[in-house]
Amino acid sequence: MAWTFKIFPSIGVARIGNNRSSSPQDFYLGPEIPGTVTVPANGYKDSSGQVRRQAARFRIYGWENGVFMGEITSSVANITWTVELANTKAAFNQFHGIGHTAGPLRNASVTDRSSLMITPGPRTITGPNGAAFFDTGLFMGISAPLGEIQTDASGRLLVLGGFGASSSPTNAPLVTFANNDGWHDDVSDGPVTATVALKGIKTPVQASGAWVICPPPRFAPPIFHIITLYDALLQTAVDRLGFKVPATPSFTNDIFPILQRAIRYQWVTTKIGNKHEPLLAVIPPPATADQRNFVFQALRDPAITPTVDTPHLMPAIWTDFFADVFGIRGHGGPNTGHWANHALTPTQYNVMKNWAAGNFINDWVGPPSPDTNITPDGLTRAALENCSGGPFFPGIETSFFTRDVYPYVGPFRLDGTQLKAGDLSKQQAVPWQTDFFDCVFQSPVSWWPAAHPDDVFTDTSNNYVTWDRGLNNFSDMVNFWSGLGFLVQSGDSVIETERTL
Amino acid sequence: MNRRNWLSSVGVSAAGSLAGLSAVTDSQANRRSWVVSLESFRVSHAEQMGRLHSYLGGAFLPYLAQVHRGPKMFLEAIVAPHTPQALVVTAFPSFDEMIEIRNKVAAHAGIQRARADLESGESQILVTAADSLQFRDGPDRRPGGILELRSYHAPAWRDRPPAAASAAFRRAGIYPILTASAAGEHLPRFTYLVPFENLAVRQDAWAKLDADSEWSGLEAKVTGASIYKLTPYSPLS
Repeated sequence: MAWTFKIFPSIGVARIGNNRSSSPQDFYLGPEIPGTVTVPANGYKDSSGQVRRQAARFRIYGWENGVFMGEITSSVANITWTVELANTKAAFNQFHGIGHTAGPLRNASVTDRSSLMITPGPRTITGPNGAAFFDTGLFMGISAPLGEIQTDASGRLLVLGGFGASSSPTNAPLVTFANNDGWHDDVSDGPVTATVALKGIKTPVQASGAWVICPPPRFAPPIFHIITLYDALLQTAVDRLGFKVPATPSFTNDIFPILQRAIRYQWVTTKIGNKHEPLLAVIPPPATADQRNFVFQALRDPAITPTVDTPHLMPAIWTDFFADVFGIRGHGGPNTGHWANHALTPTQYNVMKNWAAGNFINDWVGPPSPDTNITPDGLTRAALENCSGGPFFPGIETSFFTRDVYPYVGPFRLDGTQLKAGDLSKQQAVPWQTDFFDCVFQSPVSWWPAAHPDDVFTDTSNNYVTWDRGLNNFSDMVNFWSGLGFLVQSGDSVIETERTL
Repeated sequence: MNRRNWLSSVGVSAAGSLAGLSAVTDSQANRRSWVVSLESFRVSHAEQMGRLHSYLGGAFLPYLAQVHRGPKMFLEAIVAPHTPQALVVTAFPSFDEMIEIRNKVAAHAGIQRARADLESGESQILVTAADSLQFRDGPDRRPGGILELRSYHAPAWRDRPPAAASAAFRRAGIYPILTASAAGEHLPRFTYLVPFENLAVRQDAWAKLDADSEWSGLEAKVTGASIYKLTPYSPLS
């Protein structure tokens, strides 16, 4: 009787916040069911305006001789969790765009490269109600805590990330969106492993490992990216692991989410406004062939070379290959009005192509209700669909390395034996706030309005206002990011709340 | 609720299965068989289990005991595809009596109020010979331990487990307190409820069974397994 155990989500997401409390009432759990939005009962911020951290909760599921048995908790097993978080951004290569990753180094003049890496090492907890802190990491000799781990009463793992504390021990200026020497932040990532010993059975079994990323806060939880990290890594699974997706898409499960995301971008950028109203005409299905084709013909084909312009095609977000189109700010030419935009994934595009051709399952009975049960695969999907799957320039939660380069042992499950803590965040901007400041609408298209809203509505205004109003430069974002508002669903609208700037 | 509606509500919907079920249960009831209902109740969070136990032990069981004198067992899942979850195992002498009693329970205003915000999970209906149901009460009550609900797909077994299967179980130290076949469209499926002292004993027992060459020749495939513990208020063990 052989048991196998796997950790879910296979990639979890814990988001940083400047509320430093470890108490459960001061943080909240990230989404665990696909399609759901987590709204903390006591707000995204505390009474002093500090942003609560979002914890990633990991669970272990067991199979016995291939038969799914269910979640394994401390009621039936002794579980030992080990997590390592690291931030190695400052020691990695400068970011100059996908395809330009060979260097030069960030902080090239620093010979002691280890002084640039915040590597507190692994932490281990056995059993329920434990805690351990990643508080021994240093950046240029200065303490740089990255967060903590806890176990709950059932022995599940909670990972809490850093505090949004970015600084420069050398008082270096912030000069670029991605590569600021002398600076660090406290986002991080790393492996999550566990051993499981069923009670009465002494030999522990190593669970199939997971990974956790601890990126910046998600300020617009009700708005999903048009290409989520789930979509991007699904494509990775299709391309590299031979993962099969259904030949005939479901309108409810496959097509409607793409349409809905596009429609809901109206809440985060005035550039969409009412321009996506034609999408309403194709819901409910089937709509006419002409209506479906009108929508499909507006999409950029992912087979088109990424640097080629496709004016006015969708989605209206920048390409991963921005550097090859324009050069990077300070290193290349000015914006010349190109429309080199990011295409849907090939899988998403094929879904829409099939739909346009009438090859889809019309299973529409209204917008789908989220599942009521937590499932292993649902945990992973819920975590990843709340992250950006592009453009990766360099990205907000993780980089193109995660999509294009890093090895996987199965769909959405990285091969942790071939990666080091910090690898999923090392190519991201340092500090994250500079890229986050820059990634607003940049004519003629946007970056990631679901991560950094361009324009929003408030509860007192029916007109768009700039979301990051009042923040005028990189330093402002470093110092005042936690004052930005969070977006929440309010009736049929999405409005900004809890702004404290 | 008539029989067809009730079956539909518990997921037995095919007309052919309905007719088959009725014939099986009625004829077996005459031969002193039991119709066994497995009904799961779920909540979203472990913290809500107290409320579920309050309902099952404080409202559901007292009323059920008034209208049904047959075997009743209340279990809480410790490893199952859906948790947190409780499972109520109830045995009836006939299919019609099961419907009658369940309709009475469902119509009781106090029960309706108490379960208003509880999620009912899956229901299964099984049929078993009278001597295959060996629940205990009083001084014979099992002390602690775990119970495993385990289902097999075994087309070669036709309508009942062969004697060789029971013999292999005994050689492995596996002594089911319920051996039943599934009623309805999922036939042939066989379900066992097996007590074990602990997980280690359980693991050893199934390993012995897997190593038994005679068992291997019976071509039974596990389709599901869940592990439970008795609730303190369960009348039988």
